[in-house]
Amino acid sequence: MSLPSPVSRTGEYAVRGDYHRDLAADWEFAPTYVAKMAGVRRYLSALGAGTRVLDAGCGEGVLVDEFRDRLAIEGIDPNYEGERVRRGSLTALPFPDASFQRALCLDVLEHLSFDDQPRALSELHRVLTPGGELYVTVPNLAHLQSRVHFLLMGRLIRTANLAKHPGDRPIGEYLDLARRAGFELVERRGIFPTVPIITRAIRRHPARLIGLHRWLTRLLPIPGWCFLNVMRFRRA
Amino acid sequence: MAVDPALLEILVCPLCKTPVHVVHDGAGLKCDTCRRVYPVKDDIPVMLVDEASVED
Repeated sequence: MSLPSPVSRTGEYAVRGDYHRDLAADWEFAPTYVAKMAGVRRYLSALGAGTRVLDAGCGEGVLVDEFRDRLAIEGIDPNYEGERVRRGSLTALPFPDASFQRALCLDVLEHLSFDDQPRALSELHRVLTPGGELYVTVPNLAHLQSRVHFLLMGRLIRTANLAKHPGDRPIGEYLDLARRAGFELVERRGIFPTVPIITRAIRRHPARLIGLHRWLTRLLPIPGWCFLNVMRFRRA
Repeated sequence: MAVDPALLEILVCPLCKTPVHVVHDGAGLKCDTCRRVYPVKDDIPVMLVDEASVED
């Protein structure tokens, strides 16, 4: 047995620590994160034992820790290094072609520059087996509240500041990028349709209004109106 | 403990995709194609091109 390796963090992890592992209920994006992770856990739980999975941009490696006993899951992140997380870049993955049957890319693409996004997608395509699946979650620059803001004020509401999300795009553009990288959309759903006013209230009181967040997603499941999109692609 | 052998079996150089092998008593992973050595810090390989050194 080796001693647990020391952890090294850069980027947002250096500032905020393991914020995905130690979830704060009053984090304004917590309700969306919780809903997203429930879907990812369902997806991973349904995979056959020993399925080879890559969590690309895994952060602290929450899912790697959780599923490592049942799946052959690897985690890689450019801003994190830990016992089970290697530091690596999505635009140059250190794995041979066709090494994984499934790949996760959860809230990662928006952090990459416009130039790096197609590179990362083509790397994910390369390391997946033919017929393998890519599971992507990404925030949508043109969610409902942002569209309304654009109509009234002439500009969209960025999903985070430019330094954090340099690759912020309306969801349709991500779909085009994935298609051009050789992926075929299998399933798409949205989390959190951002109805103005209600959205502001939920962002202000995330812990108290998490039920309202869930109810909105059930009531208006229009992906293009949602803050977060969950997409499953097949590698052609 | 050195790098997990199961991981080592699948790791390749991020640049040329050649399998890497252990050098310097486990302190590095070397690619024979581009001669880059990726450091291993606390048993964790750092597979970043920018962090690698080129050795003969």
